[in-house]
Amino acid sequence: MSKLQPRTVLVIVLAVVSLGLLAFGGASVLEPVRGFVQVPLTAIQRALAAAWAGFAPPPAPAPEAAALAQRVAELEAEVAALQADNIQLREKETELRILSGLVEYARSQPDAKYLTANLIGRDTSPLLSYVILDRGSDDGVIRGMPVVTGDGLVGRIVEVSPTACKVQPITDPASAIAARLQSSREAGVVVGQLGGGLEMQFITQQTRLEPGEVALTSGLGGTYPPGIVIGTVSAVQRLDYEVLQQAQIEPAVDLNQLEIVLIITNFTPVDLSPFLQPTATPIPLPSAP
Amino acid sequence: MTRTLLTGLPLLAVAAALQSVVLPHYRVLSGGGLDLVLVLTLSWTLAGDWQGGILWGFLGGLFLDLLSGGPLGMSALALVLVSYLASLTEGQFWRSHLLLPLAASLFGSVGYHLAVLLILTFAGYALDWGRSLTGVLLPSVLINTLAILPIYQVMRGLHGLIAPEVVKR
Repeated sequence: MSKLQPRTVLVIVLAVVSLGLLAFGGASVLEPVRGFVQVPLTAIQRALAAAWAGFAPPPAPAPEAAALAQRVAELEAEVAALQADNIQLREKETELRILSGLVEYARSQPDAKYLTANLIGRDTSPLLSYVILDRGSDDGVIRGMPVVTGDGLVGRIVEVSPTACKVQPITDPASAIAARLQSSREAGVVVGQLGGGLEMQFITQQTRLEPGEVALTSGLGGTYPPGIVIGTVSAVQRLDYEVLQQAQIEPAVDLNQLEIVLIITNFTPVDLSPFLQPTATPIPLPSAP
Repeated sequence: MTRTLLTGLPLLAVAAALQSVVLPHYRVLSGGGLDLVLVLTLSWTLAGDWQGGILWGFLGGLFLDLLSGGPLGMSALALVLVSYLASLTEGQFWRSHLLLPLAASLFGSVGYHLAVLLILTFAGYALDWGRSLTGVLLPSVLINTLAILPIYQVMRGLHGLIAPEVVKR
């Protein structure tokens, strides 16, 4: 038997470790290890996010004029200082606008308890659209908590480390939300699509849908609290020979512009898995009289 | 090996963080963009450190997985396999050819994205394969192939500083 090259041995070992992680990566035993690696990684991510937020393009060079070079230099310095001030003020204004929206939303839902969080990263895979927030289990965040902004629903928390958490946005292809249309009261399921869109499925043919109708969470399934805005109907796909119709939903929240969000901390998702397990012994039907 | 790891750990951690914080702002079509960790790993492997390149692939993949909603081990496995294939060019007479980094990036990017797509599909993620291939894979392959030329030169320089090749008399 030929001797294996060290390269082949290394690849086999690392591939087996990777496969092991794929199989058991979600196990609770690995949580401390994940946290240990993720904390410094989150710190780097947080520092980069802060630096990126303060990034501003340099001012455009002014036309040269030999006689007025000194004056131009002074004015350039002044303009640069004013521009820096202006950028900082705009940042503050944007932050204030976002926070005002969040406060207004929180006031309109007094029963819920909120925790504000900053977005510090997005999914490293272009095939997935998860976002990373700067709040973790140290702040009391747990899996399943819904995330909102003043405009509507963002998604729900699917993974938590001590200092950060991952949010599955509503536009993720794996996301499915029980929804209800506000005017027609028709129920359906809103699923995410690659590219950031939403589609509401399982709407009966009898329902007359109009663009602009608002889709809200229905609360069915216990994953999200009811009454949170998901988006508005932008187009309807209705074919006479089909049993059901679909509607394209424009998300209420622009996920590309997310900066600060609210985590609803007093909502506990309902675990329906015990009801989904097949029963060991069939339940006898009542006998006819 | 220690030097390779000491260089790779901070570099790959920062690259993964950049891929999470900055690069998503420059994605095109359905999400195609620069896969910085992949390009760094391929460049390091081609720069002459095949064993270190494979380790970089594993570490970089783990960092990517920790900052992703995908399953842990997904990018690690894909990058280990891709860097292994790139390392097979070791000792070939055409190894120093100008087109090698371009070809490695082209095939490496295709292999990496296909591996990730397959793993996600097996893991039960709902994916639109047609859109993923045309909107993510194709632009990513193009951008990675363009980006590897300068990154490879930097990695070659870095590799020369960290682990200069000893010429025996």
